[in-house]
Amino acid sequence: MAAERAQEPRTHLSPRLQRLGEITAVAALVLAGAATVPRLVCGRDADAFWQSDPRVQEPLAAEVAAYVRAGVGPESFSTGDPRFDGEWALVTHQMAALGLGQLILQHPELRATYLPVVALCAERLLAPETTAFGRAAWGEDALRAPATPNGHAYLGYANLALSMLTLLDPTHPLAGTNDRLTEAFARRLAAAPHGMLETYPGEAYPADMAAVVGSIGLHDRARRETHREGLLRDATAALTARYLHRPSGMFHQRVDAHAGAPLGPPRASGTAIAAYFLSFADQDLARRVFAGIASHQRARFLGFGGVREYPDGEAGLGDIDSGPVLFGVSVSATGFSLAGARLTGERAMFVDLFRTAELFGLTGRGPAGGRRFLSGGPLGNALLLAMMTAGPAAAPLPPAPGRLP
Amino acid sequence: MSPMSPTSPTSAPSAPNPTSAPNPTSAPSAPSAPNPTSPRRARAPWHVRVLAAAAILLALHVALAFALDTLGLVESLLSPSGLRALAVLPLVLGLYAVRLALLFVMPGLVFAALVSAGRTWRARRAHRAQARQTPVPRA
Repeated sequence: MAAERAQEPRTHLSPRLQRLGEITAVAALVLAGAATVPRLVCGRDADAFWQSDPRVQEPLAAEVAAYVRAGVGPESFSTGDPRFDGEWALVTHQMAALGLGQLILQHPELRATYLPVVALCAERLLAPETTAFGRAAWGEDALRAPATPNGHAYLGYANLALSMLTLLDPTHPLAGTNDRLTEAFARRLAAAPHGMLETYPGEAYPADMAAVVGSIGLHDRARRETHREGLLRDATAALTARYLHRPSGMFHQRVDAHAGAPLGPPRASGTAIAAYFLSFADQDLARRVFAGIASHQRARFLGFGGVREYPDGEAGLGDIDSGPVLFGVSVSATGFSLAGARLTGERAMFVDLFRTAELFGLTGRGPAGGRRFLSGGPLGNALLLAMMTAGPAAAPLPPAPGRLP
Repeated sequence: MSPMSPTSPTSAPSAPNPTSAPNPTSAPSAPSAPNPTSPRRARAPWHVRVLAAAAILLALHVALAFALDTLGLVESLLSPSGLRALAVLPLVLGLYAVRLALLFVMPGLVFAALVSAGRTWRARRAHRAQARQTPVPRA
């Protein structure tokens, strides 16, 4: 009887109903496929990156190293503004040095391969052509005149990479430059009335200040110095008290260093990268800062994650800091938050963000035989290497048990 | 056209219609051709078209990714020369459209197409088996 009934229903259905059923079945299959296949395909390496597996980290590192060896400079970028071209070259080398440095700290057997590349990044960061945009803005060379009272906070990016080199190789010739630059920043920071150094005349950014603070913290860890702990505590306290927007838990993107007041809305791109930089000086603070993004700014769809650039009630377009903003989600904030997710043990968030990076980054084989993000270029690949290898290895405090990668 | 009906007249007009088989693929489709005697170009079954489209999209995706990697996607988009950015923008949009379709739409469609192909194959096999069992009247 059961077999007969199984054969009957279709023959009793009208062709129109049967067709409707078939279309519904196809639609359901398409939806089921959309909900499962992309997240599996794009997330296939997420766990390996989360666990700092060198089998996935090293191919990306090889491509980033190849970019650095091939030569990246302001002329490699065409943003249309010499300052941005210079900034991008600076950040490319900084992120390459941090990413490769973190890789060496996690896998010491790779030291011989990548330490020379970290040193090459440090040399390029101090090259006159790399810092020309800062000299043009201030009309002075802060590397040759460290006693200047001007902020030059853009050099915090270079000093953070130098501190990483000092941590890896305290006897490197450039470690002395790191010592001098750190001392100069500490002196300016102590004199800053509102705990903020200007990046350019009349321009100050908490993210750049976080790079300065992180560079001092990492330097002192490398040199085993503790006499600046109080200064760092005061600096981070001023940063969070004055420039952290309490309701959203995010930093204002731009501030007035002279008045100690925020300018413009809080934004996720600056906050996410600031949390990463701060982790080199105070990992607990970095976690607290990133918690604002993790709890308020997350966007999720079909297993893919993003980070909204603006808090609720605010809106804006993308700029050079955030990259394109699509449906409120910022490219930069999403990429930078990979580091925050690792630092705070937010595995689910890391996997979601990784899938998005994979979806739009398109990994493919690179000329060095490794794997790279085809849409990333030198800057995007260096950034993602640094963000996806961020972790407690380079941070001053031990990880919380059981949560961190 | 009924997408899951592998033996619909529009999809496979020359295919045998195994109406006596227990397989539910035997439902007739709506009369889409007003004059069945007029000559019509035979279209491939829908599952064949879906699988072909998936293969084409895959090839297109590889080609576009290679092209954009060669041209330098980020550098082109940021180029102050509007011409370079304009030239690369359609490629970028095309690549992401193809990639999203490949990842989000095609897996389910391909699965449905494979199921449909399997049902067609089973229906034809059952029809042939039945035809073999039917005694052929001798002249």
